[in-house]
Amino acid sequence: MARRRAALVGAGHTRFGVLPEGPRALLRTAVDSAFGSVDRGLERSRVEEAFLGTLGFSGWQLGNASAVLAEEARILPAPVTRVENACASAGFALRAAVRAIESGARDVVLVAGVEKMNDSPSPHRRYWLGVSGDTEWERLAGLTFAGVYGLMASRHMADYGTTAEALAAVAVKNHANGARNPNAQFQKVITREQVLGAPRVADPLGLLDCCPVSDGAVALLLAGEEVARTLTDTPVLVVGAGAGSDTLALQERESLTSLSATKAAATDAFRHAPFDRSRLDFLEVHDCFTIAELLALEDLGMAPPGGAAAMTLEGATAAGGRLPVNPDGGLKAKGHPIGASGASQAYEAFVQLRASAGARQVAGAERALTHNVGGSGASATVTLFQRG
Amino acid sequence: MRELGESITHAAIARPSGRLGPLGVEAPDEDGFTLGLAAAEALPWPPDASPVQRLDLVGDFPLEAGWALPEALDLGEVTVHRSASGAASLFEALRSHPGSAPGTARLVLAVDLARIGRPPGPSHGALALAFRLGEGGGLRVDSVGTHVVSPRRGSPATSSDVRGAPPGARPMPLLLLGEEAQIAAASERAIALGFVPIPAPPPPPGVGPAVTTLAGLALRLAYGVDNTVIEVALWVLSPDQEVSVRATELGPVAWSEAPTPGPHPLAAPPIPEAAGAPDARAEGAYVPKPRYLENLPSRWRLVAERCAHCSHLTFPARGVCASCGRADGIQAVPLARDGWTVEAVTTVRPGAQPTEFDLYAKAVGGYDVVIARSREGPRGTFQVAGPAGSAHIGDALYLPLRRLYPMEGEWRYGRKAAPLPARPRTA
Repeated sequence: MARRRAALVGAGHTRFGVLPEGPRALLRTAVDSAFGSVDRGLERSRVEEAFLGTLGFSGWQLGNASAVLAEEARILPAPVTRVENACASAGFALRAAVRAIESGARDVVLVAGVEKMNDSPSPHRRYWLGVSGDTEWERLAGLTFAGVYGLMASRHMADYGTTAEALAAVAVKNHANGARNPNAQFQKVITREQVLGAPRVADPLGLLDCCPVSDGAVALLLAGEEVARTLTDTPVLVVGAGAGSDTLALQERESLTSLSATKAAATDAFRHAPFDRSRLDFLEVHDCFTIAELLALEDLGMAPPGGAAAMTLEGATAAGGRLPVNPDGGLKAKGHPIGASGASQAYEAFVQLRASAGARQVAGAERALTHNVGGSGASATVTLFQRG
Repeated sequence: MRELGESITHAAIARPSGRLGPLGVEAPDEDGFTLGLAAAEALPWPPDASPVQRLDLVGDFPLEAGWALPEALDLGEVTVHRSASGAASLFEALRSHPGSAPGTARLVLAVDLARIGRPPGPSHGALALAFRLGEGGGLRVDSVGTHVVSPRRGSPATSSDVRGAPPGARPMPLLLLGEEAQIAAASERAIALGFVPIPAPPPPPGVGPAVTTLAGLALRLAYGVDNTVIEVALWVLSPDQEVSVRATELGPVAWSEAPTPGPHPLAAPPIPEAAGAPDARAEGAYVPKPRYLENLPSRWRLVAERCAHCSHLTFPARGVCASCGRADGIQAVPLARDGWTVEAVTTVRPGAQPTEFDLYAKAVGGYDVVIARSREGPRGTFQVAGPAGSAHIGDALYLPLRRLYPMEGEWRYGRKAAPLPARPRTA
């Protein structure tokens, strides 16, 4: 008997960036927008359960943040579970919602992700930006994530001859995409020279190799497939929800240039999927740093080890290319409110596969993959979507 | 002084790396504890040496040094004696053998600082010594080295004398420098020391004045009642002559301000607050003290664990094999402190550091962090004690103990990586 499938029926997205609103207002805006996007409308009382992805950045509500979502979404007394896997929090929250629906336990589930990162002064922010890596042996050697990805980039360059120009090409491409996304934090084109000439942050990574510090929230409404078809004629089916883990510290891993959590998540996602990698129309990958997009393309099997640089430099991943990657600008240009990013990727799948992405629409898109990474790869999700 | 010279079997002197930080004295990640340990690790320790039974600490070591140093040095059970800082205390410590049976091994770690730079400048001489006492019998110390951070510009005689001394000078015996030094030492308010040159790494731009390399130096410090230097004498040796060729008597140091009895400059300095920064003692990834202590064997002695079942070597130690998961038959195996090879490197620029390293990053202008592989197999992640951009993939490293980060008003220590053998060499 075929497994019950979950489908996206609505999605809402605040603008990402340095925003005046607090986390409650951001959540409210995203959830209201999601309900407003359901073609035939959806009563809030039909939401049976919700999952919230957030790191609680800056400690805005370290405990029991779930209640904030229940209040702001006006779904009381539906149960809410807060999911925290660093930058992959919303990816895992989405997966929990999909499982709840696939199991038959729930018919309608809400997923939200939120982060408010620009409230705090810089030292406080840097404190929080480092709380999700290995504390004892990485952070206290002086690393935040820029440094950890800098380490991976240095090894990737040594092993495969990857160049700073290839990393810059990722940033240039994602900024070009972000310029067409009205929700993006950076809606401006940048040049290769600007990226290469930017101040260094954690060599070989410079300022324009890094995603920004962002505020924002995203909400997704999911339903069982048969319920979804009563709510809209164009649901977006979730046809694979994979995830994986790896060691917290980079030094424990066999390879410094590959995230095995990503590989495991992809294998998991494709196991029951109705299509294989070659049928994907676009990808949303976790490009917290430029090197991360190259690692993702290789670990997801879109390029051989060391091959993502050439793929990027030849334009295959650009808008209109053979395999567009991060058409919304990615974390790099769209912004990276930590707990919201995984849901933002699913939002992009929702609008693209319903042909409502406006200026950044990937022509004829029917199948998409989203890839969400926690920290430096200790956790990862890969989710597959298909136009319903 | 003769009986002193005859009873010292081994000696080594460590020097600060010479990067002058905002704390004025030394590299911002070095202090008396790390220098003392570096000196002890540099001892040409004979393999059949009797175990050390007494450890004398002279100088303002951090409070926990009494138990921390035996742990770091793997000394086992020792009796620790602490003395006040200053040359007179060192002299007393070296002279005294209370209750020592013949052949008893004794280790003296002394941190002394010539406050010849105060005032006006922040440049101090800094010394750390380790002696192993015991077997007796007239063994002459012939392997001593040190390095002195450039004397202040306010003492033109000393700075001009010691600058530009050529490298490669011959080692010279400790405490055999001539009548002047012996007379000075006999006063019990001064000390004489001998040095060999050690090439100094160039300081990173903008960090501080260049470090002077000495051809040889005898230093006499006369201390006043408040333990501050009131008189300085230097004997500078040329590379081709055995004994002093010049003696420069500075006379009483002219203090332009009253010497304050404040903390010893090489003591672990108070943890300052950066302007606009959060409380440096509280803001950071919180590692409770018990967790820090639990990890000390791996942090300080690089203890890994060998699995009796699958032979896998797990580092850092965690009481269980990281490969097969068995917890029985685990054997602690310290990894070598040298021979680590860089596999990945990044330079963390100011602004990209965790908050624990705010002051350090500001002081040194950024630092390298590496993932390096030990000779025995396991990898580790280490901050590099050296100029930003100095480490490269494939470099060989050794791991000196350095000050890592402040937590709850205390400094915490662990291994960093250094691309050059900056620890003192013994002949």
